[in-house]
Amino acid sequence: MAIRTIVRLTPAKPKAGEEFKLQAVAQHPNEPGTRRDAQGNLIPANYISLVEVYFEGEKVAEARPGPSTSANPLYGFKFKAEKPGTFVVKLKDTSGDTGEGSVKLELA
Amino acid sequence: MMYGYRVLWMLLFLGLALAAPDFGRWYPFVQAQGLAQEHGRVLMVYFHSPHCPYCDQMNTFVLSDPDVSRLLEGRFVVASVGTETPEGQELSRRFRVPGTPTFVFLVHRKGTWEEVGRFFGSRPRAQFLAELRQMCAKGGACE
Amino acid sequence: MNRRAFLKTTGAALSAMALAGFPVRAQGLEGEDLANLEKALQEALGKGFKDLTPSNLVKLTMPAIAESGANVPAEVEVNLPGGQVKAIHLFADKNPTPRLVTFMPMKAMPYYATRVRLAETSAIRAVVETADGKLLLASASTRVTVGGCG
Repeated sequence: MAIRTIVRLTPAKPKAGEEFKLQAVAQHPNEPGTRRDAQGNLIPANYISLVEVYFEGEKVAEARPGPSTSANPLYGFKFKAEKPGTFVVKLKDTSGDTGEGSVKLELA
Repeated sequence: MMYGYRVLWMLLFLGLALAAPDFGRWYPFVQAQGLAQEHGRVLMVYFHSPHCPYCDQMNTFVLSDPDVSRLLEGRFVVASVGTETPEGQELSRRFRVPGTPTFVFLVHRKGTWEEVGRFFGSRPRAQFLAELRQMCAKGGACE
Repeated sequence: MNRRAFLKTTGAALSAMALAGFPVRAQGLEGEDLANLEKALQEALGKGFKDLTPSNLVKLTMPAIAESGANVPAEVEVNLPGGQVKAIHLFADKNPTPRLVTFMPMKAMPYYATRVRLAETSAIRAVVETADGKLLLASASTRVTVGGCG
């Protein structure tokens, strides 16, 4: 099942040369592998271990989270606005599931 | 000949593994009570609720800590009681549980269940481990 | 704990630290666990705590108190040009797996924000690998509240 991923920019329309934040939010339990269920059994680890940010098809940032990221995680990045284009954020968890979200950068 | 012995040993181990209950997991209250009485262990009744972040903290980091897990598996039987269920509500009333997470420690002595201690609220791993050791000693399972 | 017992345990802890070879760079942070951190540093970087240089170019922002350890905001920013930062690592001393994340800025600015799980009150470390091979360190501490739901 695809990981639901939402990407947004703040400010939504930066000026050329201005810094802006790119935030990705995913719907994922990020199981650390140390959590016990109501029967006391350990829930197997399954967490997002790869976050890649692409701009116009080129990889521009990468994060490798460990097992201790919160459920429904947030990943925040900062860029400088140079030219308009499309950001794509790709996620992959340790079970092999993937997710993708995109946002258009338009300059003010 | 050697092979025959090996098979025999394997069957013996398998038999033992099947006979011993898994004390690494948690049981419904009545079943846990039966196991604690039968095996002379301390019964830890864990009252939890699904939306309490302090229970989640206990489940994620404290009750799965290797030292805590080893002690619980070695000397205790854990009863898992969700306070959102009708049975959980009845047990909460019976044990006058103030909220979640609550841990009530019981031992079966002279034909009756005796409470040796309890605590309410989440705690760091080292503190929980020290308190478990106390409860274990009080319950006569850690001499 | 009486005074003598306190002195005895602190003395033992200090000599244990000396034996393990940790530098006497006691930061006095709440929730410090250098032994646990050391293993994670070695695993992620092949370097130890003694190889890190505290730097005020690295700004690590953590809340002083977190109501729950399940969702603690973490933010790190490095006051260096993007091209000079190879990677940013975050660690929590007290977590069973201390490494929280490794971030490669590439064309992004040397900034990363996320939300993490903390096992309990812990020191948090941001370790910055610069392009010229330095390892810069910023530390913070977050107290995780204990409590219950009534």
